Amino acid sequence: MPKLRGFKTADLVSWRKRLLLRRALADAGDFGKILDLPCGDGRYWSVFRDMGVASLVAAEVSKGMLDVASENRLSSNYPGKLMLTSAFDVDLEDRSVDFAACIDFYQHLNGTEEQEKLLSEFARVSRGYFALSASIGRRTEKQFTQLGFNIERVYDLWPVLSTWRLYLLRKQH
Amino acid sequence: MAGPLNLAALSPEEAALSRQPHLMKPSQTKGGVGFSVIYRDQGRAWNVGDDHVFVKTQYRYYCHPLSRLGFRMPMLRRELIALRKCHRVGIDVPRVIFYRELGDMTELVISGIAGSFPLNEALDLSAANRNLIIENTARVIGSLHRHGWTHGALGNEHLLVQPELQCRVNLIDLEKARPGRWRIKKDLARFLRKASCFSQTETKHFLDCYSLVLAG
Repeated sequence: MPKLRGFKTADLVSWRKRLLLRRALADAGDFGKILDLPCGDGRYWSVFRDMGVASLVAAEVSKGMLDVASENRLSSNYPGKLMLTSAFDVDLEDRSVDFAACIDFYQHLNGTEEQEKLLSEFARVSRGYFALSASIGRRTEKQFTQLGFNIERVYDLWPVLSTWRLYLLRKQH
Repeated sequence: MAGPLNLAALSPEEAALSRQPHLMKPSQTKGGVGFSVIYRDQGRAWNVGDDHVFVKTQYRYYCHPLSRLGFRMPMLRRELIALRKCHRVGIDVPRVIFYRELGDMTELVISGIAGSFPLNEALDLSAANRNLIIENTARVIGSLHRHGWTHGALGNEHLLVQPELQCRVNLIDLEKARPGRWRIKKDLARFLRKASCFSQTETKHFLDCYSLVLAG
C-alpha cells in the first residue's frame, strides 16, 4: 500500500486560527498579563509576542505536551512562565490575568458540566477578556452569559463551512 | 518543531510549582522523527473521580489505514476509534476521558483500571480462579473477533484482569486495533504464541470457549 501524503490542511487551519487570535488581541486592545491555557506545543506564542504581549503565562494540563512546549520557547524568557496545571483548578490567584486564551480545548470536553467548570475557572482567574474557541451553538453562547461573560466579538474559522469559532468574551462587572 | 523529548527540560523552579505526573513509558521514536510518551497523572487534574489517568502524547505517529485509502491518520485516533467500538459492543476497555489533535501532536487521556494485573500475573496469584480468567479472556477476544476487529498486539500485558471484579478482563493498548476479518487467525495465533502461561489443557479450554463466543 503506498503511503500517500495528505494535503496539509492543518497548516492552513493553523494559520487562520493565528490570524483570528491576532484580531481578537487587537480588538481587546489594552492588555498586561496574558494566560495561554492550554498552550499545547506553543503554537500561538509568536502571535502574542508580535502583538506586544510582554507578560505571558503559558500553562498546560499535560506533562507530555508541556515538555514539547518548553523546547519550543521563543527565547529563554518568553513565555515568562511555563506551568503545569489543571484547566479546572488553575494554579493562579483570582483576577490575576488581563486576558486569557483557551484554544482548541473546550470543544473536546465531555458534556456541559465540564464546560461550565472550565468557564467558571476562567471567570475566576481573568479580570478582563477571555478568548475561547468553541463550536457554534446557541446553548454554548447561553452558557457564556450565564457564567458571567459578555460576547464582545465572534470570529469564524471558515464562515458557513466550519462550526469552529473564536469568541472574544468580556467579564461582566 | 520539537524533536524527541527532553524530559528534564523544565527548570527546578518550574518543576517545584507543578504537580509531577509519573512517566510510565519513556519516549519512543518512530523513524527518528516522531515520538510517543505515556504519563500517569492525577484524575482530578482532568476533572474525573479516578485516582489515576493515563495520558498518551504522540508527535508524528501516523498509520495509513485502508479505510482512508492510505491517507495518514494519527495512531491515537485509531486507538480512540477502537476504544469507542469496543465500548459499544460491550468489551471492557479503559474509558476515554479526553482526546485532542494539535497539528502533528495528538493526545489521548484514558482512565486507569483499578486493581488489575496482566494476564500472566493474574493467573499466578495464589487465589486465582484460573478457569474463570481463561473463560473471560476467551469471551473478550472472541467478542472482538466476532465483530470483525483485531487487536494487533494481543499479549499478556495487554489483557488486564481484575480479580476483585469476578476476574473481569480488560483490553488495553488498542493502537494497532483495526477491522478486518482476514487478520483474525493471525491475531489469535499471536496471542497463543505469546500467552505461554496457559497449560495444554487450558489452551484447549480457551479455544473451546473462544469458538463458542465466535459462533455467537
